[in-house]
Amino acid sequence: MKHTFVLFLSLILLVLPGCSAEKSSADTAKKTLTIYSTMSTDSERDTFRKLAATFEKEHSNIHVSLHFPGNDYENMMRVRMAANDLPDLFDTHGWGKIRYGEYTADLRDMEWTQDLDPNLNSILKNKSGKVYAYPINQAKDGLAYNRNILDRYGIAPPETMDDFIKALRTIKEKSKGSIVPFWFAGYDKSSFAQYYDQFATPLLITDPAHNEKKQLINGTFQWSKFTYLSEILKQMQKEKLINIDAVTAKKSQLIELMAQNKIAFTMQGGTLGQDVAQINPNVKVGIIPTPAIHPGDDPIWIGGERYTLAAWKDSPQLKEAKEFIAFMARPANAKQMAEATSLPSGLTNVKADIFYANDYEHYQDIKVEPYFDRLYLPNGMWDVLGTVGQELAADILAPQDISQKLGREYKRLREQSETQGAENNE
Amino acid sequence: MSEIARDVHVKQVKPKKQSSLWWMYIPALLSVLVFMIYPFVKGTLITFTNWNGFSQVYQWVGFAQYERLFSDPDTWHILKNTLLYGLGSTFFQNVVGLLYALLLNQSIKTKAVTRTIVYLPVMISPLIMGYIWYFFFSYDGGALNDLLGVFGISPINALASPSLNPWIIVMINTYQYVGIAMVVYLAGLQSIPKDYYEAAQMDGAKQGQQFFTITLPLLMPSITINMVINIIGGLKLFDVIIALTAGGPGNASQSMSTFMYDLYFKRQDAGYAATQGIFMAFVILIISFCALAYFKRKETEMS
Repeated sequence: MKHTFVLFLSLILLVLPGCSAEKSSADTAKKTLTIYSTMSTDSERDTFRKLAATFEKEHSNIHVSLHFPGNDYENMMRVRMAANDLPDLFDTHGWGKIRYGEYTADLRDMEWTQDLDPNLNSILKNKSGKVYAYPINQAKDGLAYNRNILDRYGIAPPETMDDFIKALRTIKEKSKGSIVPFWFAGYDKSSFAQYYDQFATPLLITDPAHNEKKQLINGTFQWSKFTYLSEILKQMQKEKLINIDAVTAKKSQLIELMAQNKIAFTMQGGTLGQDVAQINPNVKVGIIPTPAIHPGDDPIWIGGERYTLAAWKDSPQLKEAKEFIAFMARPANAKQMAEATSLPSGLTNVKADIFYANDYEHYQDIKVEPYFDRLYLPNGMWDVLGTVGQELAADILAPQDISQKLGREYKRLREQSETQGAENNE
Repeated sequence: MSEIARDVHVKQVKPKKQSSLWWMYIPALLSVLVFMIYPFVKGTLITFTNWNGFSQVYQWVGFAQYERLFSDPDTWHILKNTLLYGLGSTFFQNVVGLLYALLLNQSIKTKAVTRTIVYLPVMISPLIMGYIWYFFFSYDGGALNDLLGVFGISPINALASPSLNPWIIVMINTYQYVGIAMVVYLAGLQSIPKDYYEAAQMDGAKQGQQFFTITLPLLMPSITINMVINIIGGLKLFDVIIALTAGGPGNASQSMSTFMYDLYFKRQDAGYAATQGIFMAFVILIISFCALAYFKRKETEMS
């Protein structure tokens, strides 16, 4: 009888291997700094790893544990936030304020904040001056395009929506349909969300005569004013200016198609240019700011955070976490990271040599506006934008229905976010 | 005599000893409590909030999420999809599975190989299966369009149609799991004594009559198992949908489980996701209970 009980207990213990102690006693003097990041390509990760190793050398009492969960990142972080158990340092990938804001430590006292690019102020700072995260780089999104194709057909990079549509038509005609003028990877809803988000800025924000900032923030925005974007998208689809498989194509096809000169325009920043050049060095990918919609307005860069480091406010290693951020913010290190990620640095005292440097220089007078949804829409609208985009492209909803649906969700999500912890934009 | 008496004595004690092993069910009880009852209660509580899924604060909203559930047109078309995935796949899997079983129960030369081939897809992860079929149907370079090209038909984008997508998913689910149905039916067929058929033949019963009066009634237990397993599996279908269409376009091919996942993880709508989850649990419970009761009755009727 006793034997059976012991056997039973040992069996139970066998099932619970996770309960064993994590560290050996020799390591207890060393503090472990856990970092989670969304970095996706090998070059980015390697540079980050190298810098972390240098940091460890400088701080012999700190061990840095780096994690790159890839696609699982967002879900994992949601679960960890719900459990109020975050890594010491984590990536806010565009959501520093409105999603992660409740959990981030204020970094305003750190030295690098003096050099924070003012373009990032509205995204990384709030009115009382709290700084939510350190920007490893910053997004400067526009339209990526195949320079060879535009040169071949004698098209100048468009600066207005009308020119853009004209360019798409020319490409379709002259290539006799062999080139997709404007390519969407719509299997992932984000592709359509990106379209709405990016073009909403020239439609509703940048032109003084059509400025809806106030209405968007105080909740009185008339969503019928948004219908234009759906109508244009539908029009492009009808004229076959976007790919026929716009709702089913996957992002993984993009690099190959671009390298085969089969795509003229798409909405993708980051390392697309280099990735394409690796497969086919003859294809030159460039980037232009989002075209203006209203007459007389200028095109616009859409910017904001991409990779960041935010410190968990309740982290037992908050001091060490800040030390790590200070280390990463040293101009030499910040430059390395910006170059590895092919995006401008988030600091003004760092000049990075990146793939699109020429394009960014050519359009250096063009202003940068933050991502539309992060500033003017409640948290949760991104997915709604993506869903309605698919529904439009698959003929489930008409442009007017979409504006109505967006209006309903906007109202509901506003009510939800007003009652919850995530920081508001006002 | 005394030896026998001792034997009897021993036999009487044994059950007592066994009954003192009651604590053996504690682990099972604990896991049910910790992993099923507790999350269920907790999930039910979340349905009364507007929690976004990650914040430390939320508001109690009473039955608002339930009102939303019943007034949301998406709920009903997703329920329709889910029923289609559950009942549609069950129907096709059983019909095709039974036909395969009948065929492969004959003495055919390539019997073993064919059985293996039919069963093979079961061993592939549903997620991988979804990706494989995605490449089959994909517009650019997909096998389907290459095939159509041979016949001079212009390429189609099969996975973009909101009305067709659910049926494609049913087809793939059937293709993947028809092997299980076949195996269960084969086992059932092999347990039917040959004598019945011989007797029936002597009485002059035709093939069809034999099937409906002998095979089908005696297969009833296998049918019950297959039906219930397939219904439950189909109703909670997830992986194939994620890999093939991600529930799209829009919400056109969502099942209740993918919709719930989207609501929680993508739309930060944990309160509503939990409400959909409770609704789904009830739907599955009711359907599988009805199916089980129905087939149990049939079983007793027919035997």
